[in-house]
Amino acid sequence: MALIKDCTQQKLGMRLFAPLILFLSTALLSLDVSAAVAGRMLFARGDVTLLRGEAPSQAARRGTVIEVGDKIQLGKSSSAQLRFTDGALVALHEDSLFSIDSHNFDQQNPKKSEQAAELLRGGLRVITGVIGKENPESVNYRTPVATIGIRGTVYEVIYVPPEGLPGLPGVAPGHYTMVLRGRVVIASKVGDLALGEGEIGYLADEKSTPVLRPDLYSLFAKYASQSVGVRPRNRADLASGASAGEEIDGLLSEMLRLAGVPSSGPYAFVVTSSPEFGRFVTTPVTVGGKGELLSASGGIGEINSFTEVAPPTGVGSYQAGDSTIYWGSYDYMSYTPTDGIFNADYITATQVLLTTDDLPTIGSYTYNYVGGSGASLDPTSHLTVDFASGTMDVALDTTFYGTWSASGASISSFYADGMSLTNPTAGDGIISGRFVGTTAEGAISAYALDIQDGYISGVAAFAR
Amino acid sequence: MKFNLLLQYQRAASRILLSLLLVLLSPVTAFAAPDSLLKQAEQFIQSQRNTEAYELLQNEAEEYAGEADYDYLLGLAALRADLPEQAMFALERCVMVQPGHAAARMELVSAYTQLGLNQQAEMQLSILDKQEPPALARKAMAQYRDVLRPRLSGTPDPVRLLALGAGYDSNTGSFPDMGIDLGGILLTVAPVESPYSLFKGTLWQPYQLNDKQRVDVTLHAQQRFYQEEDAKQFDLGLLHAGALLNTTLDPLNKLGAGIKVNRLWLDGEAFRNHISLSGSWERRLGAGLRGELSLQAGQNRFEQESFDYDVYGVAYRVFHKLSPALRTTFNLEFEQEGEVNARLGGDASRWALSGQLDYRIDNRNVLGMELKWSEVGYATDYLPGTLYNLGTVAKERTDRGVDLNANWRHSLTQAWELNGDVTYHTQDSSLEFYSLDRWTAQLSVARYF
Repeated sequence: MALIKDCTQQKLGMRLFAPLILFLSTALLSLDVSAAVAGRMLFARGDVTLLRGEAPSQAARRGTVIEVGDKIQLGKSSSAQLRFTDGALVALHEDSLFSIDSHNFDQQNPKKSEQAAELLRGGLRVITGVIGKENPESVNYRTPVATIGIRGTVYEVIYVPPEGLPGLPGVAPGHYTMVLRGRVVIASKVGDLALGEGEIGYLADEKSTPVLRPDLYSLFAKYASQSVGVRPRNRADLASGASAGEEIDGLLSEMLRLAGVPSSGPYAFVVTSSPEFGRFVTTPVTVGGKGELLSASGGIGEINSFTEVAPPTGVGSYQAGDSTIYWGSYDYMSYTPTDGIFNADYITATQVLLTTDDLPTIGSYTYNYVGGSGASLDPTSHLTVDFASGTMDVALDTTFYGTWSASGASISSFYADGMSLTNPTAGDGIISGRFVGTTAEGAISAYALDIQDGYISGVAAFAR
Repeated sequence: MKFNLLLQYQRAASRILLSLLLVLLSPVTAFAAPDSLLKQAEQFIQSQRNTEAYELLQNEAEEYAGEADYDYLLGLAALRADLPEQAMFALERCVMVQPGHAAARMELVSAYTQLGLNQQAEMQLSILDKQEPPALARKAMAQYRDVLRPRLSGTPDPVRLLALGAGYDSNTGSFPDMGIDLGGILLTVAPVESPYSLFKGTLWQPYQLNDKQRVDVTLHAQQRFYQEEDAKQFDLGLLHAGALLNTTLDPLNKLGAGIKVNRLWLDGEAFRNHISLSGSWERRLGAGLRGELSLQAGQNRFEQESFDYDVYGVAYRVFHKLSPALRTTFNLEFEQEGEVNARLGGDASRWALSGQLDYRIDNRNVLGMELKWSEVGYATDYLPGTLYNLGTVAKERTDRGVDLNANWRHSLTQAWELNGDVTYHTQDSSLEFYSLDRWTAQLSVARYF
């Protein structure tokens, strides 16, 4: 009897408790789901995609729930901000790929919480949240080559993968960290480096020791500028459908307005973030004491203001006969009305032979590379020019991509829209320029070289 | 100084700009996001309840982030609540969504500047330049640029100041308080206290030679006039000139080489000339932590030649920036003095250990404190039966001193600063004559040019 009674009671109990068990199971499942929630998107602009396991990728927007295991991918000209449940804020820059590896925030016991994420590509800025404040050892941000330990912090990280970042052409692969508040320790497999406020650390790969690189501040400024609407222009950005070159011409027209001191010219102007090759302007330009570009004339278009945001860097000069050649690089040149920022290399010279009519009619010379700005050319780069036949050979040598060359090309094309160059493995290229000096002792040029998944560009001076 | 001025400016100017820029520059003057939320936040901000405004808005971030008006107010509240990093996130969203939002860009300049993102701040200013800002905004922008210019160039701005002050000195001649029994006649040696006035001028001018080298030139003059007649003999005049060549070897190491000359007057009469050469090596020890080893060799020549001595010193300093508001310095130094003309006490060895703390209380006030312990031992015993040694046998002299200083700097306006300084010095010596207490209190006002 007792057994029957027990069984009956058990059955009764099952009946009574089954819904409760079902409810509890559901609740537990939902708890499990909520535990996996890491945060939400606060802001998404441009091409921001959420990648979740095998599920189809979806566009992320404000309010999108971010779960542990999710990846957030940003395309060109895109930016995003997300907030973790502990209040940590992360801003992601263009061309970034960010993975949330773990996130477990217990509001009642922050010291037992933990957070881990990886920047697989691109750049981010972080303000640590409650976990970072209460238990900084449990916050683990990393890139493929380094881990980042924090101490109540605001910091920025850029990871340039071996194949490079489109938004940061020419920047060496590796891990870059800049600290704005607090302290950060970046560590590789072989060493670590503690960074204080305002300091920048760099790590080439996981087998390198992190080093201080205070000279890399502008790298962060450059990348950050792209997220606040002041970004380099490219063809895709031009609503009018104008070419970048036409926009540059517009820029130059305003430079004329700003002119007012003795000038020289012409100069080459290369927008390093654009696939457009450098363009020459034959109207006067105004240069400063170091030959830096101050203003220029000519051109058409909508641009009506030009400002030098910061002085040029990497400036150099060379005396070729009676011509002085100057070159340098503007990390930032701001223009309106579109509030754009150019990253530009320039080259200017005095005693420029403006047209092919000014060139010598006899003589054959080799012009060796003597300096320039932008993509790094090897010193073996040279021009071989036969003025009698009006032809020239070009060899632009680079360490990593080989040589771009032209043979027997017309000098006229060098003076016009640009001379085509070829590289057997990397891609095509183009170079244009002018000879300088009364008897053509030197040459100034601008070039853009296709490296298939991007381009490199710059300005170069040659002298015989 | 400059940073404090910037923050002062930001407080004052931004309040005005908030309304002015919103009306004149912002392309949107009506709020699209929930009026009640934004109006309440605006009221909080206008009544200085910035933290409340920030929290009110921040709680709604997942609903409204990305709406320009919401982000602008959130950024504004965060800035006012001393959260420039939070402000940066909100204001960047605002200008990304609405690139013509000049008011947001203006606040973004402030956030960037406070966070040391100088190039970004300058970039925003250059964009604002082209939006034809009103005169007040232009003035504000010029002041931001005053702060940013030296940071961007890597060369600090020169310091030029004139100061006028008044103070009180409890022991103008550093006398002991003692009585001497000369066979029934009691001779008293006692401190002479006196109020004083102070005038001083300083010029500190850096010259950048190249990317790695800079020369800092310092000129300083000061005069202290005591009010009490007995203290006028200690009226102090000082002229000082120095030059220091700084060379940055790499991100970790810096070298310095310098020369200093100065001349001291007492009561208008020349008292002492000093010249010294120094060399230093500064090395980064860690995040916010630097150490500096310095050597110096110098001469001190007095009008009364029997005081003359040469000095050789070595010092090690550690600078530690604990937080944006708190910095500490520790200093250990040793000096060996070599008598030149058989001065009393002969050669001497001096040790000193000190710790200094600077704390930025808020945007206008900085508090400094220093504690120093020192000991100096003289090689030659003092003969008995003199004022210095009242005993009957020769005695060695060892002085041990403690100095405690507290100072306070208060920015009145962009160019005017108020300084308060209190110093207490106590010295215990094996010879009673050299045991003394002294404290000074001083208030001065400085005008920066």
